[in-house]
Amino acid sequence: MGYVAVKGGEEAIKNSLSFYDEEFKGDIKPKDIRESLSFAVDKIMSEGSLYSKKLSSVAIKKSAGDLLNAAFFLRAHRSSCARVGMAKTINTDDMRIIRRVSSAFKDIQGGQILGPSNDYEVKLILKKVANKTIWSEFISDDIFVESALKPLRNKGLIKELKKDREIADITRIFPNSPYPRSAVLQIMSRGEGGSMLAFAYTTMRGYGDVHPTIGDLRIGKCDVKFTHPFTSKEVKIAEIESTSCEAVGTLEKQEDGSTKLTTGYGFCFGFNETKAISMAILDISLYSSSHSIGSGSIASDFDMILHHIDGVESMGFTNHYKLPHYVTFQSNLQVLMNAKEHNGGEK
Amino acid sequence: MRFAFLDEDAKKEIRRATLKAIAIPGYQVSFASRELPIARGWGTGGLQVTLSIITQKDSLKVIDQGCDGSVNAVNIRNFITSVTNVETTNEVDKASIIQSRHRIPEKQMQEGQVLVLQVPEPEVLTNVEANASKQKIMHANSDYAKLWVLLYEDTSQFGDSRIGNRYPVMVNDRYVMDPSPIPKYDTLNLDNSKALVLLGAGREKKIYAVPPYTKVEPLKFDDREFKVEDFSGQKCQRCGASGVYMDEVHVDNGKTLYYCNDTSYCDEFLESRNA
Amino acid sequence: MKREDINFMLQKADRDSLRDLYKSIKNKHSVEILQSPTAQTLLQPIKDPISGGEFYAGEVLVTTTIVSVGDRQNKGWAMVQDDEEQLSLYVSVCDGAFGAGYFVDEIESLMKQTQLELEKHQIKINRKINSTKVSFDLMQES
Ligand SMILES: [Zn+2]
Repeated sequence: MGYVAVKGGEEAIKNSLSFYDEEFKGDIKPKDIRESLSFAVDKIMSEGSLYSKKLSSVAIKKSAGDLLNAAFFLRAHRSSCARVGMAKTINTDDMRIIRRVSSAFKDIQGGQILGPSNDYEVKLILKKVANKTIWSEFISDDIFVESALKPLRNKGLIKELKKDREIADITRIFPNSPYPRSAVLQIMSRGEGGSMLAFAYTTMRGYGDVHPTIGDLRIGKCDVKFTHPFTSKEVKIAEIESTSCEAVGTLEKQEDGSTKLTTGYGFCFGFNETKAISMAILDISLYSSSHSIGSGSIASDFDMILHHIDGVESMGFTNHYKLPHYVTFQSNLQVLMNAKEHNGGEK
Repeated sequence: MRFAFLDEDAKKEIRRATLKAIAIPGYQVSFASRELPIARGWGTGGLQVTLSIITQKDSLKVIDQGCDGSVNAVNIRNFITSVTNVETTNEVDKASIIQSRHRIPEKQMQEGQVLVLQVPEPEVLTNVEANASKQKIMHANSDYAKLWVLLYEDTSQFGDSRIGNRYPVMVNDRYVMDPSPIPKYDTLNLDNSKALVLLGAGREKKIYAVPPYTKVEPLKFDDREFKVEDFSGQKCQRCGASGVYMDEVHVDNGKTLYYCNDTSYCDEFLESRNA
Repeated sequence: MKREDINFMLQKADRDSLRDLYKSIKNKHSVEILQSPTAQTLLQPIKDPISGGEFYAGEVLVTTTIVSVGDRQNKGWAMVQDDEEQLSLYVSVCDGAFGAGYFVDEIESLMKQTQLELEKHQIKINRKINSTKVSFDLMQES
């Protein structure tokens, strides 16, 4: 009987999970993941919207390297922790710099600092690298430096946007259009890197007219600060690694008649330059669309971007089509049969 | 683990959204949809509604595709019982809360019972207007012209709407609502329902409701019949019932057999026949 | 060293020394746990340079503990990064002891030792970072 098979679901689910656990067991330790797959760990923290290198590594192990699933583990965990409060605001101008480049200027105050990067590595997978630098030859100064765009901003050459009176929190209230800027930035900051990259890429290939210049791209450490409950004084809680990017778009005529440069901002937890750059480009595209050539830019549509870049949501929904759908399919088939009949009983 | 997983503030907020939804039948109320250990699109909206209203005294039934034993129903039921310890049942009469995906039980629900439907896409206007702010204005003005045009175009080409499931319904003569992907057969059972119907969309962060005894009408032209799925002439191979929503099962010898889609209805019918 | 430096500095301290210090405090004074180590989150706002406003980039996972050391009035608190229950407990006890004036020298000494280690480590890292600076002025001067 048909029912026997369907009602076997419970047993099958259990066994399927046991099978998964045995098949993808391996013996890699979360600590090893944290130390050697650190970009994966960072990606998960940013998309999971929870800064925890420890749990992020555990999530990667639990999901056997399926990073969309790993971010999902982290988000679900977040729902079970009480939110104790709000840290002090981080300004990425105060970041302790590990890497910082600007493609807008040849030389900048503070210099172009490549940091740990394999950008200029020739990607030969089988080549062995044996490059050794004697570190002691170099100076040991700390590097803190303002954004390379600060001088232009101080001169009033950069377009300013209106600031929100209250910071939106999309995890509590998902706003309707017109979206507050703080909500837009929050959604992008926890968005899925690949989806954001694809949308940002469309703006460079004719679906929009963003031709960005990287004004200031930086990775480094920022302090998380809170208030000591018994002394009421500021106390440092943590250092978090993060990435920020300011990209420059183009000229735009302002309401007051002046002409200014448009810019976009990107920030995310962990070291993730591609995501921060994508976010900055999407930011330009969303807020500077009025002078775009052509109207077919999908990345300047707030609804388009804000509803389609969350990895946990898009992955969950796309995968739900694996669930049984025979009731709705049955109903669709009947509509097809009725339409055929309507068209003179076509065979 | 906390009773019903969600923290009390979250539950309170969801209940408040639910009350507002009941007060404005068919209107989509936004809520702060929490991330659950169950994936988005797998029933997190219905689940949050259930978790926020369930008490220790409740008796729970969970169905998916009309079946208590379907993989997703099992998964959700196990999760809810693991965080609440409430009693579960397969029988419609014994349940105080029924969470369902894609079906309304064949057996009529009664006053005091709650049907929670899982909703993947709550916005009925999405297919005719993708822009969320325009959708909002259209609902505010009760402007459903684009849906009527779609219905007209379909009717002229195919003789009827191409929509098979999640057929748009007008609720309380005011808001057009997506009834969740139930077949047209079930749509009619929403009208004047004795039970409270709550619809939850987790990914889209919306809750809406059909309070008991509310008028619910499928969108159709006056001179056109609302055609529901037709299984006339078919009898359930297992229990012999007819006049219910059925599953088609294609067996090896090329024949097509029919079974009740609602498995608990089938069980009860079989039992009553054998008694 | 201020009491407010304890929370971060001792997270970075040598774990064995910290545990020993915790045990010494506990042996001498009664320690009561008022809130056992609990995983919580801090919402993290970031400044938006374009509007001058702020937005939330996500939440930072922390483990918070509240204890009393000696007298019930002498409360100690710690909020350490990540899911770290033991560490949070140790730090909160040191915070409470310091506030009450117990083991002040020992705590300061561990903090100073930690600070030296951190500075040494930072110098190492800084040399590496500075080695990657693209140098333009070399050409002009030659
Ligand atoms: Zn049957």
